Amino acid sequence: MASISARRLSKELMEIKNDGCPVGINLIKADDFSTWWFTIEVMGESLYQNEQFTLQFRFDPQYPISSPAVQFIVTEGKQAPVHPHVYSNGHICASILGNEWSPVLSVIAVCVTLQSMLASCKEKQRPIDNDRYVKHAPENPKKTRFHYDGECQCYRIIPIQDLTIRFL
Amino acid sequence: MSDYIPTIDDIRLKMCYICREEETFDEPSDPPRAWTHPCKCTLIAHESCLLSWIETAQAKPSGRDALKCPQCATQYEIVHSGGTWGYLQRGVWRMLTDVNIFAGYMGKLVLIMVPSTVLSVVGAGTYWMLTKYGAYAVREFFGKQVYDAFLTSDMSKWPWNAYINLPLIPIFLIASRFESSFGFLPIVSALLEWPNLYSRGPQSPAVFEWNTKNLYPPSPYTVGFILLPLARILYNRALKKVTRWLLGPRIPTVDGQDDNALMIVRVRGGAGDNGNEGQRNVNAQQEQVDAVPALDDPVAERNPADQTITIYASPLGRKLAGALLVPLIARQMGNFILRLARREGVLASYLRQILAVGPRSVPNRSWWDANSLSSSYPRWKAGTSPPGSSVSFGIGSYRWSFDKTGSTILGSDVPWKDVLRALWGGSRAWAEFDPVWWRNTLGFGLFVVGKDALNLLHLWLIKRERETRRIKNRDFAGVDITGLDLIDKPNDQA
Repeated sequence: MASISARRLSKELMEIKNDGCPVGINLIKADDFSTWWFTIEVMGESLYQNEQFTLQFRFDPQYPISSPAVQFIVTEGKQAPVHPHVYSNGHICASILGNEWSPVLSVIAVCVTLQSMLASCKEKQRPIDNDRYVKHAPENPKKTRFHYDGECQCYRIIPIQDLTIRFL
Repeated sequence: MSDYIPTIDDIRLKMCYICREEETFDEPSDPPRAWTHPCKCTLIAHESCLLSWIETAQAKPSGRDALKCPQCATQYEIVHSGGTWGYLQRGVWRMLTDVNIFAGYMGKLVLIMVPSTVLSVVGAGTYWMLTKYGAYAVREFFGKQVYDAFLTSDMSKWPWNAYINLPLIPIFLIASRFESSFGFLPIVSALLEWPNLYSRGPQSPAVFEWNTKNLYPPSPYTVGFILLPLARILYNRALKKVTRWLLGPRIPTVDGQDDNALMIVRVRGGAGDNGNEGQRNVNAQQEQVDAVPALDDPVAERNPADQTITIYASPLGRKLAGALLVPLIARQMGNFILRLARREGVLASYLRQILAVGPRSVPNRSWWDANSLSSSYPRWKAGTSPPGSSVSFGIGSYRWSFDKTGSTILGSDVPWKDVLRALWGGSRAWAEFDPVWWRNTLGFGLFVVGKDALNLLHLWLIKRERETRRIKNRDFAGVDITGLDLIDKPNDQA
């Protein structure tokens, strides 16, 4: 019997294939139930006219109990959008990916939320603390504890390995 | 039928909002799974899915309020099965939790205090403090008699190596808490097996006395290097077994980090049903993520809605405090069992034998050799040999002594049997003290056992609480039922 995450993801995949993605969102890779790629564009008037970004989802076997790890791809010539909540390494500071995650959400729901986050952007700029964060960021954005306030001073990096293994 | 209120059982096609599995009313899943409608909107879920989501989300310190419906924000209600006995269990669970929370606060206090104190007296001050603490630890653990014999309150009379050994004591004590390979007692007793026992000692250098008569209690050396590591290994093994038996195989004990168990329970609970290796790895990762805030807020998170409390594993401060309190706890426990042993009765007399104590300074103690008392003890006290006339070094009971002429004295004519016995019993000097260290060691052992038992009880109660949780099911009163796919009621059709 497939794991719960695999069964739920296969359902979501079927829905995507039957109903299609919302406008501006396209599934480009879903070979397995651990990593999916979407392209995402903002439709209509926005600061991101004619720009296309690639969004990566990574799922662990606890999905949907545990949130997916979502980030923009910044390799192979791809760029992360310049946005106050998106770091240049592709990590995103959005509460629904962290403490506001709920299993009632889905992959498509996350895509749509991020799309509207881009669409509502007023000024193209990196988070204030971009350089500092990117220097120390963990590979998996789920290991960052972001602070979800409007202004991005949004994260605190936790040197997880050091603290837990040695001291706890 | 306007007054008809449908329930979860009236839904034709149920879909769990968590796992998205569907089930039609005429084809129940096999084995049947409980469904629940916990809120005031149309979301429904498997009870098991919802429980595991709640458990996982609560394990995260700043997670969203999982006890609320993500759509209509109705509070879920958790009820427990298990009756009065279960109610009692949860009472004890809460109490233990409060104790733990209190300990966490104390730990936080220490975490703030220790570094600030240390930092404020960096350099010589730190060294001084460590040395003082070491002296204090010796006094606590080995008793005043030993302390007065080897060290005194007059620091100028301390042997030179005390200034090396003593400051190392707190460092090793703390290290032993973080790295299980640092057995703290072996190292402490190694430090305390004073190399200067003989140089300060009264024996004339020519007379090398081994304690071959008194085999009980074992010397600190024996305890520290042989008995304790052995007991430690056996105890940890037994504890692991008991833990597994009590809490089930799903509780992976992190090696040598039993204190973290609280946290593991909390996180593992959300792991779902299958416990394969990959899953466990993810759990471990998750656990690390979850563990992090423990430093910020070591205590607990309390959700007033359902009294669910999440306890983080012993944070740094708690460990520091625990390490530095070892001598004090050991002495208190030692005194406690000594008091017990002083009572009348058969049990107390057994205890007296185990502790090798008798009424103080009465020479008929079982381990006390009357001859040695009459001859060597006073001689020892009187210090018949001029101090400083010999230098000795070595480890444990193997020592070489040099007298002024430089001739080496090793007990070459001592039979091997006696050497072995001496190894066990330690040097004679040790045998002449009230064996405070022995009862303190035993007492501390009791303390550890008691602490672990309490910890296990707490874990077990947490587990019981998890297992008896149920989500309160609601009917669809107040929900717009036109959106529901209900099983046709014959009455409705008529």
